[in-house]
Amino acid sequence: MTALAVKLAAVGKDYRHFHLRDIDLELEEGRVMGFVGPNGAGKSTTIRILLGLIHQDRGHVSVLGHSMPRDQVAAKWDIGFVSEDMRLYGQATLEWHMKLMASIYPKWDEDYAAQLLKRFELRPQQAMRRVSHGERTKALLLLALARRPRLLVLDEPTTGLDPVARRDVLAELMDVILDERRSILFSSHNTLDVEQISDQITFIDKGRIIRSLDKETFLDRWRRLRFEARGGFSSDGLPGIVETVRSGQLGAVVTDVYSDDVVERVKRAGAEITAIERMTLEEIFVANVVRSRKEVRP
Amino acid sequence: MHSELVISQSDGRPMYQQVMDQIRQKIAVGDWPGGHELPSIRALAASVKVSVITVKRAYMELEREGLIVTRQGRGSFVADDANIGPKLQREELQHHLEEAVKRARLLGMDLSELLDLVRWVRAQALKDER
Amino acid sequence: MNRSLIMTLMRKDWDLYKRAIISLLVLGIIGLGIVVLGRTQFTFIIGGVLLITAIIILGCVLVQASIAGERKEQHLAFVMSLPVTAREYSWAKIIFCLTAYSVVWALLVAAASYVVLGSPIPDGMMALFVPMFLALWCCMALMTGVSIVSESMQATVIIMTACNIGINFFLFSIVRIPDIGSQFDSPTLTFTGPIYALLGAELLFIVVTIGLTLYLQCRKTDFI
Repeated sequence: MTALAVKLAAVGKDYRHFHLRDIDLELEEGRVMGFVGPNGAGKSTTIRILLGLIHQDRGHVSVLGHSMPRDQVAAKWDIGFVSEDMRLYGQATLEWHMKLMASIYPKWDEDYAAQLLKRFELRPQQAMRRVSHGERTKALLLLALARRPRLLVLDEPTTGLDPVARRDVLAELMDVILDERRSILFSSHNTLDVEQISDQITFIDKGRIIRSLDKETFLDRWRRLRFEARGGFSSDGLPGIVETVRSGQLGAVVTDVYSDDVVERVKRAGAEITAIERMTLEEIFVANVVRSRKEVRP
Repeated sequence: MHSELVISQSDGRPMYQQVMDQIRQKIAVGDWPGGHELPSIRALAASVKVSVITVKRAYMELEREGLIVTRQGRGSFVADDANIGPKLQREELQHHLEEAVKRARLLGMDLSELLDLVRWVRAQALKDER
Repeated sequence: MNRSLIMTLMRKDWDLYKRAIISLLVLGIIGLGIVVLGRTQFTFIIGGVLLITAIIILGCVLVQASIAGERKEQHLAFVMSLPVTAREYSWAKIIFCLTAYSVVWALLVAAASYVVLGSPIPDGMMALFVPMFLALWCCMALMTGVSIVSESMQATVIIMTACNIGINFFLFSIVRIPDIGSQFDSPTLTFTGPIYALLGAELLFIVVTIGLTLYLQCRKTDFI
């Protein structure tokens, strides 16, 4: 049983207009977790609870073996955190920030930092208030990566980056994974990135975790079956069907437990299957959210 | 960073299959001969920029097919099989046939109808060759 | 508590705000210079106003930029990602603000006292000046405390305005105290009971404000 880099058990937090409920999350050491959810779903809150910046009202949080928020300082020595709404000091330069980090963290790797400067094409002498959004994100990542943390927690790391910058960032993140003791948890709207580098994917909506599974299982279990109805076809009551879309005789059903049985059942209910399609993570995510919202308010 | 394989997200096939196909190709053309040590799962994942779990799955499936062998604690190696070329090609054929059988079932064809179609296709192919 | 991290945080703040602090120190010295070299009542007032303004602005800048601004400019997430607790962060801020302020305040107060006591200006004025300077420090403690605890730029601006207005009322009020007002022209300085009581009250105010700030900060659980 591999060690857990992150473990949240029955975590909850109450705000006036928003509630985080029953959050169970486990990230094994050496893996990458993609955290996907609409705006306001609770991603940032969950991440901040994970870092000990917000104290949970219920439940237990353990990061790198440390109980949070009690041992947050011990944990933060080994965690690199980059968030989209984080800002460096505008009047200072990147070099100043790098010196600050080097003075705090013994694990700061000067050579790696220099490499990242080149790879990310950043100018150390530039004042942080004059940099573009993409450069700021890359600067924050540099400051986090160069001290080789055991856990990287990233809130929207590729949002607002141009395709080249995105590719550079993903490449650096994947280099982190070369060390099997280092893990990454990142939240993103960019489902392509999540689909590409995540080992495990967690969907969150309205303060609840909808699903948390390893990526290949997600992609294996979900299918869209396109059909041509043969008189009297109805998907009502068919088990395993998440969603049906129909226009006249043509339509498609979505299943999250794809197997030959499901295909058979749809055929027996009166449909001719014309195509079986794999779904992108984005489509799976949307279908999950729609279903979970229907369950709450039928 | 130089990558040995290239994964495309616009390719309709799942990523683990793309990885498998490219490894198979490398074996079939002799770039990775029998006994050659495959990169570690993490190293390949990092160089191709795909998740470790995807590469792990690709390696597992290739091992199931007998194309590679994983030795506990020592890594994965291309199977030491003299027949690997023809074996691979036979597997590729089997893969295509699996596709055909699946589609036939979807269309509601039974075995004899499928075999008739195979015979017809073969006859056409032989005709074209002449 | 991690002393070296707290020192690092304070050093960081010094790096970021030293230009402002030093500029205001220079401004205060210019004001003092005008008082010393002027020798007329007019220059005394001009120099004095410059001096007091410098101290007040310093307090406001320190509080607004390093406390309220850090939250508003979204630097807090970055700082809290460092291996510090919220409590250590609060301590570092309070110590930095009050120390930076104190150094400039003490220099200017000492220099002003030297000027008053060493020049033809009646020494009795010190009976007014000492409570005034202490009142400035009280304002700083209050602004720092309110800004840290309220976590709001709005509250910070309101308390700064209130302090600026309040210090004037304070000045007009204590001038009315007979023990103080009567010494304006006196060449000798006498600290009497009521004056000590006033100074004592101000010191108590400072201690209570800082203590309350630390207490309220330690009870908080969320920092973002």
